[in-house]
Amino acid sequence: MAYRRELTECPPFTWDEERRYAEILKGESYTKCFISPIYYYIIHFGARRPSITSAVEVIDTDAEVFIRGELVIEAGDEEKVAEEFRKIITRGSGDELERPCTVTMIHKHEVDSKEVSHVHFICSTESFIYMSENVEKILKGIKRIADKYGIKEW
Amino acid sequence: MRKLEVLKPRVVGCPPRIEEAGERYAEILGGMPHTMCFITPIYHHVIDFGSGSVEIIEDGNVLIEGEVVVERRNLNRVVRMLRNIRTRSPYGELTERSCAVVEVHRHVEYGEEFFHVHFVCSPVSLAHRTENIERILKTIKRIADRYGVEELI
Repeated sequence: MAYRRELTECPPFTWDEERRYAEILKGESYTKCFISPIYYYIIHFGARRPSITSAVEVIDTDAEVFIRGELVIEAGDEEKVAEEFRKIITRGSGDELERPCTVTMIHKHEVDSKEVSHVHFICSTESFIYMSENVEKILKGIKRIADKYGIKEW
Repeated sequence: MRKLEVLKPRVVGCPPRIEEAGERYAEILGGMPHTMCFITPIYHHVIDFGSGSVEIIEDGNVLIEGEVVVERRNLNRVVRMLRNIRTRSPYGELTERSCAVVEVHRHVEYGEEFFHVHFVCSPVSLAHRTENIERILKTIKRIADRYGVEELI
């Protein structure tokens, strides 16, 4: 069964939010509310060694695609991994190159007196036309990083 | 038009192409897929300010995307400032850098050069959602006030 995005009335709290956001940005605003399908994929995957903690979520709202997740790596590899995420390239709406991914947060854990880092990332690709191609490029990039730097958290 | 306030996210059956996409993604990552499909409200705020615009999309997650128009000499500073925006992580610390510059493109209007800096921000924490959105918007406003220019059309 296929679902479509459908415009609906907005609940009152969204108008308050709109006013607040427009006030901060001192701009002209408008708000739209939809009832929409969201396709939500979660993939737990093994890294260089099998891992239960590395995971990716692909959130497809039928208008935007948003990919986020985390990788477990050895402490000390954070800079290299962040750089690798910035190197993932997708195709923009005008055929220009996009760098859709960024590392948002890194937190460290100590497990059996060994330090590991959890690298959280987000990616958001814009083009509709290249959506499938872009999602696959991002996932392949993530897989490459996981194969190179990912570890299992014991 | 349907009334939104009575509607809540509802799990529905996934269309076949979605199952296929889930399998394909899992194959690329060499992992285990788990796919869910919802029908859900999405609140979409669009704010145009002189030198750019921002969209705030809320559907359980928050995604802020937009662009700001700047001059070449300020490009690197703007990119750095966007990357330096700090939001509160689910652990309560201001350690999350939730914004990325995804693309920069150049326009020439009446012989003058303008750069469009496209960014995306996605803070994770639900508990600090409002605070994080406001932090991001305030910094975008600061960047726009300092470096934003209006493109000649």
